[in-house]
Amino acid sequence: MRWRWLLVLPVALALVLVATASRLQVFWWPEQLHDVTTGSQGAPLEVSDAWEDAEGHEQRRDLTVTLLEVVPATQVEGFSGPEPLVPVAGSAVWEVRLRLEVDPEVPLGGCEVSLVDTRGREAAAAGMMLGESSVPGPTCEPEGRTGPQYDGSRLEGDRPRPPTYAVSVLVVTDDDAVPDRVRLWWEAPDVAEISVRD
Amino acid sequence: MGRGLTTGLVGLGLLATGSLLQGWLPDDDADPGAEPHVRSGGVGDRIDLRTATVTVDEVLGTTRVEQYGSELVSPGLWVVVRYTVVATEENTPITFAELGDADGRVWGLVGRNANACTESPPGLAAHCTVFVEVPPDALPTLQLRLARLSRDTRFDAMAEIDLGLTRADAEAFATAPAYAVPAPSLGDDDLGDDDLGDDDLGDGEAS
Repeated sequence: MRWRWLLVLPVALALVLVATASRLQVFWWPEQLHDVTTGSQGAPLEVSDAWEDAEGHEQRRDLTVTLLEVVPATQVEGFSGPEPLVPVAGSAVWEVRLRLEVDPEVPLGGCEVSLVDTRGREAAAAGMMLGESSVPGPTCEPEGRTGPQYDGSRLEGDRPRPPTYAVSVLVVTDDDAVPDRVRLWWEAPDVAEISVRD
Repeated sequence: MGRGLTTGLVGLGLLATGSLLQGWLPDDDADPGAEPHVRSGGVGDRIDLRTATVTVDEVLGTTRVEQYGSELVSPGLWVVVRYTVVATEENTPITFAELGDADGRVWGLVGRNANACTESPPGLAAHCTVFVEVPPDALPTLQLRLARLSRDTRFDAMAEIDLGLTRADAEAFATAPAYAVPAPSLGDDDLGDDDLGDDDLGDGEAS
């Protein structure tokens, strides 16, 4: 009967694992986009996103997003209006058109958009030089009509944001990438994932 | 008396063992399990870094490089490495780059050294350039190390590329003309700077 105490060992091990699991939380889990809201092209999708402001208070924004279309982009915004997009070997540029319905007093700066292809590769929208064209980073507000910044201030000269509007986000991908779904997020872990209709 | 002596000796022995162990075991800051996973290769080899593949295309050298219209003159040599990055699953920029030699000397991205690279989507090649100044005597054993994050290389894969340079290359580099560093570019077959005359440079590419 002296070996009986060994039965405690697996229990103790399990307790140790559970107790140390909190470290996962601390390091990377909150940074992952694991709270997914899924929808499909053309259907309005209600999205809720939480973030922590400078004072450490939890803030929340609720919006309705509709993926209108994902089409090959033909032009980029240059210094003096739209310029044709000169193709670069091996690349493709997609225009992701989104319609947003959101309270004009909600800050929407710093949105992120990515395009996941049918092979699971995820190309994020980012400002980059593609040949002679300067592809802009993602913005989710209409040009010159922005809502408040995160500190409550407003961009000088901008008119208020309309409650409903459409934006285009450009995404550069490999030329053999076939768009499968669009991802839109602000702060992890919340992310909206909208499948593209064939 | 004999017993006291034994106790003393055992005590001393334990202290000595403890002190030896203290010296031998990693200290609080050391984290040997977090060392980067090194993948070695040569010029022209495609090296798999899990999140991206990197290939060194060309190794050049000179005493003068030009970037953003200003010329940087080195009292030693500028070693210029042109490389290609192809991200695997997500946009991946390569931001960690350093040169090292067999004496354990390391030249990182400090001072005027720079790594001109751009974030690129998966599957689309990014053409990047890193230039670092080193003393000429470092060339024969010079290696380039590339990794994803300059701020943190722990647990991640790291490419280690033998640049294959020689003493003769060091001499050729010393008299090579100025090299205009091209801006990073994207695309499958675009190497960017064909009109900048890099053919005239001392070409240290391993053959």
